[in-house]
Amino acid sequence: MEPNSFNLNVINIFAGLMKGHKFLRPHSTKIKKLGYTLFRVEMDITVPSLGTTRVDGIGQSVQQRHTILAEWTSRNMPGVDKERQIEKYLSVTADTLSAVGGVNREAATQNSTWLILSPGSENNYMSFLNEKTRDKLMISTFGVKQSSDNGATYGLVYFAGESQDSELANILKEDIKVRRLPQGYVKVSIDDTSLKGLANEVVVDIKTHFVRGKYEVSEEDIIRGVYKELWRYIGPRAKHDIVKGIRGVLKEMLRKNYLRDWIQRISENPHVWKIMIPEKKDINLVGRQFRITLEKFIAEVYGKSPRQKELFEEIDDTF
Amino acid sequence: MNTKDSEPTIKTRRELYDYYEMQMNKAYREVLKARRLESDSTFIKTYMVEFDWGEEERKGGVDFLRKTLALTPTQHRKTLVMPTVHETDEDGFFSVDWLRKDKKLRVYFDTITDPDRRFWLAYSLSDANLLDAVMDRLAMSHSCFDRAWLWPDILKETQAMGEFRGVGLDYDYRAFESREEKGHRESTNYFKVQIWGGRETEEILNFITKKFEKKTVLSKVRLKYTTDGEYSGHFALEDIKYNGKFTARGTSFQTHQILVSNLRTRYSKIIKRLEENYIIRLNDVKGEESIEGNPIFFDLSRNPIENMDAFCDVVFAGTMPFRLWGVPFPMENEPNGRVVSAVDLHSGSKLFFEIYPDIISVYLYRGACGNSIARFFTNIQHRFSKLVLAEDNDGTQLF
Repeated sequence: MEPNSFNLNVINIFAGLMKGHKFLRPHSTKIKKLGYTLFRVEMDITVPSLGTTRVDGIGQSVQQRHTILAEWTSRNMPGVDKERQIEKYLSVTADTLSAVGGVNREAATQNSTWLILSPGSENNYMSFLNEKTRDKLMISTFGVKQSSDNGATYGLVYFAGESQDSELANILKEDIKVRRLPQGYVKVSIDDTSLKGLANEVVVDIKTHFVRGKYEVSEEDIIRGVYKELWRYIGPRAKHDIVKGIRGVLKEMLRKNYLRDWIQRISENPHVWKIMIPEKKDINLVGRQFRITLEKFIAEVYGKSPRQKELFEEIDDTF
Repeated sequence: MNTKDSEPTIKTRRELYDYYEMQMNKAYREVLKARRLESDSTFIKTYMVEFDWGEEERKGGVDFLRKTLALTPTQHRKTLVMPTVHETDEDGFFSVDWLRKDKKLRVYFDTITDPDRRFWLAYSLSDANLLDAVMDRLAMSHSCFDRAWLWPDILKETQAMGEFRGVGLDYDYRAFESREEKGHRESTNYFKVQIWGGRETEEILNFITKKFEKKTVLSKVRLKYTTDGEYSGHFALEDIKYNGKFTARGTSFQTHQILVSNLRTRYSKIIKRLEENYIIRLNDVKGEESIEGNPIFFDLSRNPIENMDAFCDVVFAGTMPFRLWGVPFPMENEPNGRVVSAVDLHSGSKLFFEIYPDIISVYLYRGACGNSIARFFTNIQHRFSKLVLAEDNDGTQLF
């Protein structure tokens, strides 16, 4: 986990706005009042004749008969691929949304695209706004507005364009300033499959298997544990990168001498990993030692200092 | 032997209730006669525990229970203690014995009277101290087993259902002091008191609450409970502890059962509501799919966290009573904020915490257990601050 990357922040702020999160009030409450719900994040949609694209966030409102497709990028310049992607977004029809995407038919009646960029890059994307797109494409920026020793204020700032739902557009055109961001709707960025992007979540997932007494864990188990229901909607290319990333974390764990006694690859099935538990030992003590070892790995990956207090607990074993 | 050697062979709940009613009466008469407080070893102990078992495990019956109620080795006790589990004539009702040298504990497990078969009742006449130790060990070593966690307000509300007979107050905030804060001095940031009696004790409690509102944390309540109708005129004198333990004496076991059952129903409803309403999940509501669920918030604005690292070190160390493990990460652009992807060491489920000095948001994911939230809410009051509110995204109080 590399906390608070641009993508993770925006995915969570988008989810929070659709879900009325208290940190994002009053804007989130107003959007909720318009009947918006969070339909999906990171979902592939196939647009006839144009192909498949991954939509970063989808909000829908039956009340407004409108679906908002959100795309965010921290890239300063739009490449050809981004242009194609936005073209696909803007070509999405009600039929595509409901029949292919599964969006509620009423909510799919109209749709708009919301492009969220890093501050400073917005002018580079102006070419996306033209006669054809002006009334269904909005551009905003997201980033730190003010920063002090006590923390930062984030701004979600409207730049240009319109939405098919004018009431939603009016809310998004407000000067949205927030002091705190929700961060738990989506914890792992699909785009970041680096060691730092995944290690903490992989370690936490391994620990959940240990607690449940499941000592043989497949890579697939870990992936499902980390990405949960999101996994179903992730496209094949992203899935491929994620599997590689997860495998990379596990291999990195194997490289550590202190973890070799704890985790081993099963020779008959290289995609399954075994958590080694010494027999006839105090399971609480074993659990504690395993936690300490995993913490050491996390500390190394993220360059953190170790925990201040010992993980000691007394067990009343009078019986 | 620590269990009653003369304990008859119990085959049905009815036989247990009759036998326990006789024992309750006997113990109560002895107390009256002696005019002094006895050790509670002769009293009925009932534990409300949470047991998370699937359909397959239920089919495993006795074998599964034996494995799950085994006392795993500890540093000092190197051997595994497998219990003897006896089936009775009734489905879901078991008698369990643990034997170690000259000590024997007998506990009756009723696994079925909760419609979800999740919140079990464990009854025993055995030694209270040993029973407490065993219940704690089971909770620590088996992920499917947890105590019920009764926060101060639910204890207070339950006490109001009967006549006031006293309280136990207990907080211990020392663990949250960092080494620098403590320095070399001995910390005295703890308080434990029990007052038993009638109306005067209630007045004393009111006085203490007024004077030390911030620190009056109920850990135990005592009440005289009576019911109308069939059991009118009978009563149960109950001690209810915050970890779901009831100690009962009096004249009616049935009355005790009614109280236990009422509290279990109430508790179970709250836990289920937490799981139904707040877990982040993809859901289909009336044919409309969306991502449901929102975080739960713990408002600490009346007593903010002063030392964030010390706080996280204690809560996420994986030790009792929080049983949460995870590595805290600083938030970007928020020097006093931390995020923690945590594992609940009871259920093996994942939770995500956003921690600010004045507010903590907790996200639950599919498979999460509402009991984790009750445990957190209860223990944060006993270990960090009583001045905490648990609310949802709309500001509705959850407990």
